[in-house]
Amino acid sequence: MNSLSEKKSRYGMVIDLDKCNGCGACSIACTIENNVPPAELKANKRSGITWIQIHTVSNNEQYPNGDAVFIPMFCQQCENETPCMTVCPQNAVDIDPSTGIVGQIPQRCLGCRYCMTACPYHARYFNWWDPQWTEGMMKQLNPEVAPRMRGVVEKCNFCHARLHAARTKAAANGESEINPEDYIPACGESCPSKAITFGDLSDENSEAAKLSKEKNTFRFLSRLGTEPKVYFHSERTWIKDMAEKALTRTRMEEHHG
Amino acid sequence: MQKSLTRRDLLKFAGGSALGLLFTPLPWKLLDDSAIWTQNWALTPKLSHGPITTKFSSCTLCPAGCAVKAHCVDGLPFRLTGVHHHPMSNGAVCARGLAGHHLAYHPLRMTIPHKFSGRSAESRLIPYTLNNSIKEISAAIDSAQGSVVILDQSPNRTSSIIFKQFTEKLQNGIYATLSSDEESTLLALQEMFDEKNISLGYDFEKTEMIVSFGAPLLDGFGTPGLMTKLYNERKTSRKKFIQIESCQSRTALQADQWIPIKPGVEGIIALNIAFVLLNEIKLHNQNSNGAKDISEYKKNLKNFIPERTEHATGIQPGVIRKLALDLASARSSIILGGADPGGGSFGKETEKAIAGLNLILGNVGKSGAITERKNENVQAEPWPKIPDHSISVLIMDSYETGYAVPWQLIEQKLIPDNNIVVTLLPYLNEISAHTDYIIPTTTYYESVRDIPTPAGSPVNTFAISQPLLPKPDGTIEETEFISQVASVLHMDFTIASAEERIKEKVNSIYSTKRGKLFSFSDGQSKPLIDISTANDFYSQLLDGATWIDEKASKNLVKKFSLKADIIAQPSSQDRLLLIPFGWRGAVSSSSLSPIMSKLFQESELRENANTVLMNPQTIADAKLNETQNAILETKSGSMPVKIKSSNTVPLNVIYIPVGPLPNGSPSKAYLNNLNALSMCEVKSDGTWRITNAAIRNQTV
Repeated sequence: MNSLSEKKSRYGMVIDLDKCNGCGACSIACTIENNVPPAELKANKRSGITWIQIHTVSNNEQYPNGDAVFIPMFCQQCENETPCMTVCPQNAVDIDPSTGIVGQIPQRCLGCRYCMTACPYHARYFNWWDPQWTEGMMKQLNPEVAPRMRGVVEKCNFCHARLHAARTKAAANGESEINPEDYIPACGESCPSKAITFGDLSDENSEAAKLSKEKNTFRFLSRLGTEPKVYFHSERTWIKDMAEKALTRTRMEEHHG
Repeated sequence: MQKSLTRRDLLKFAGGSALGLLFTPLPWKLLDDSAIWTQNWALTPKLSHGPITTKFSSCTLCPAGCAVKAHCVDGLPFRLTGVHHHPMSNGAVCARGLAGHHLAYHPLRMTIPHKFSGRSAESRLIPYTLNNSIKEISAAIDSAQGSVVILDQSPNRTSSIIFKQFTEKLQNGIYATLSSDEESTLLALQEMFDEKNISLGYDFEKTEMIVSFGAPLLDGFGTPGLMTKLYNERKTSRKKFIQIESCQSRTALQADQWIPIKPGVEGIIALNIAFVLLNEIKLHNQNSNGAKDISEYKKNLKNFIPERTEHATGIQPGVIRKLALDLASARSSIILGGADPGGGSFGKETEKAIAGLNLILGNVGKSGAITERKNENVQAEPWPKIPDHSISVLIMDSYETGYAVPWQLIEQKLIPDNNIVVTLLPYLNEISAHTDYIIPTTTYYESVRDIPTPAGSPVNTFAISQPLLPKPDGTIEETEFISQVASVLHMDFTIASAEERIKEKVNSIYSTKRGKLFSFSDGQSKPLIDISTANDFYSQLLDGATWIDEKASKNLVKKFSLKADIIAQPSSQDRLLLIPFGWRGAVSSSSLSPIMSKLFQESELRENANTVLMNPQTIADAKLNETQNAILETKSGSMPVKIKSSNTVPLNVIYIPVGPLPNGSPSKAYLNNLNALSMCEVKSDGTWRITNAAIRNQTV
């Protein structure tokens, strides 16, 4: 009998920034899929939970010469020396060796937030408040994803529940590998611009693997050597230049006014 | 021997016990329990159980009517996705539509009728019975001194026919519509024709060049899935998007060319282009033959030589000439005007100037440009044509279309201090907070609804939105409300059920034997003639399908008038200009799922209602402090705002979002306070795009 775990995959994404129009569909689809609660009254962009946070980044040119880009930023699924995993005292972060997906285990998390400090992409979120939905919305939660509690950290896991569903389907059909069409994260499925391409980067025939090797494809903060599995694509050179520095600078600027 | 118990013994015992306790599991257990307690929440979500099923429907949040696939558990949808290969929505659902199933459970949802004790911000919202509401509203209709108006904000549905029939039976009844801003250029074009009974649409798919004066083509316009598809196919289709706009909006940011202009000069630029096309390039085509007043028009255009207006428009004449030349050499083009969901239309003069370019270029009645489709509209009185201070009873069917409606626009038509306004809407929002009665109708996905042809569509379409959610007790269908009012008024007026009306419409489409039916489940289209009976057609529509009519093949060449009304040149800008903008569907607080906080509150992707965007130079010139709150002032009053610096905004402009409030549960007083729209001056032509304003730091 074939086993689903025989083949090792490296799931990743390529986001075409020239196609992304910042509509927010990916962020909303992700929120619904993963039972992320609506904002608490006091929540803001630092304390809220947005597994996909879409940043509007401009080239800082004055009107009318400016250019800007929408950058969906979420867990970059670092493969090498995964910063959040290395600092977690609870082993609440782990990498699935069969998929390369960096997972977060809320049951183990004690809420120390070291991982949030370590993450160079600011892609981890802390549950400062009890999650709240209106009564009717509670009945509309995704039955395949457990909501998280106050006091724990959460983040994108490439819609892990969808991977489970795809594996179950493959196993039921007696197949050794999942059908790539059965496993697409909610953001990729919902993007109206088709700007998000998801797939197995270790499969050279996958669209994601091909796109990740294209000329104008790059990764954010690649100089850190964490080998993220999320790639970005843009023909605009200023975006690529900014990719090495902008995100860290933005947060620093916020802190120091 | 008896040993006495001393104080020291007691202290030793207490000390020993305390020390011993440390070696028992108790303190550690307490520590653990308290840690667990802090991580517990009062409200424990209970996930629904049961098999996961899917059901098709169509989104009714805006007129586009995108096809959706609902993933349900325990009979309720938990996820909505698009339908692949759909000819219009192209497998996409916008961010708002993805969370459309939450709106039934919105914090501002109402499921019983309410009455306000007055119109002021302090007036109380009182739960009321439906019978008493209907009796009082009927009595007001019976004794109305002025007109009784039903304002249909989502026209051409089968319900619209009922509204029209009801008002026709009243002596003083008027059935009115507020046109969607998306079709303002088309409406201007229709008015220019001698023949009035025509319906026009944009053939975006086949056009070569789209020139938009401020229309948010790439930010929710029309059917968003289609527009993004066309945008992304530009490499192969060679389609060009050109945006003419003062602010660098999302569409301007992505367009192939953005032509920045001074605010309020769109009409002048349109006439500049017309001048170059007719007087310099000497463009002549078949369409021009239809113009009755071409020579007079050409003469008037001499006031709009690009060099003469350069100072007012801020555009170099060379840019205008290049654009005119590109348009003249394009095989097909579409030029359309203002449709900002928050800022509304430019006004008739400007829209006519823009629409006229399509006639000059021969774009009307041509494939890949502006096409005629069979007119199936329910004839209505346009809202601007209703005389001011003439309405006694206004019933607003506020099935939201996603476009802002300033309360001032409604108020100016009411007889002062002697009117009753009723909203057929299941939410407390910026409009219903001003009215007298809120009659809660069913909301999205709670009842069967028909989806007529969206404004601007090149062909007629029809779909049915299947309910996905149970209808709550206390709500009423809008036509049932009308039926009950008619009954109290002893009118001879019987109304068929929604299902019966939709069936009738389906039968009438079936009898034409035209067009094709796209099925959501298999992604296949088949000609209508291949469907054996009308009942089959109806059941397929119910199961999830869209009927798409054939394109009109005839060339529309009719007599028209190009008469360009003199467009006033904007006066020199000595004050700051307040320009509202919005995102379709996000212009009120009730039309967004609470989880849209991810875009408005928990990130800065979209601006909240109280944040204004200003150029950094303007902020510095006005000596404002970006980190402090500020006070925005116009003739209408003042409101506190937050300032955000943005290089996308021109100098001396305050760009204000007409958007949701920072959280989903504002009070009525908050809703009645001044907001972006109420700060704007609604002019006599019904526009509110530009208002003089001032802004200052808020002193503590």
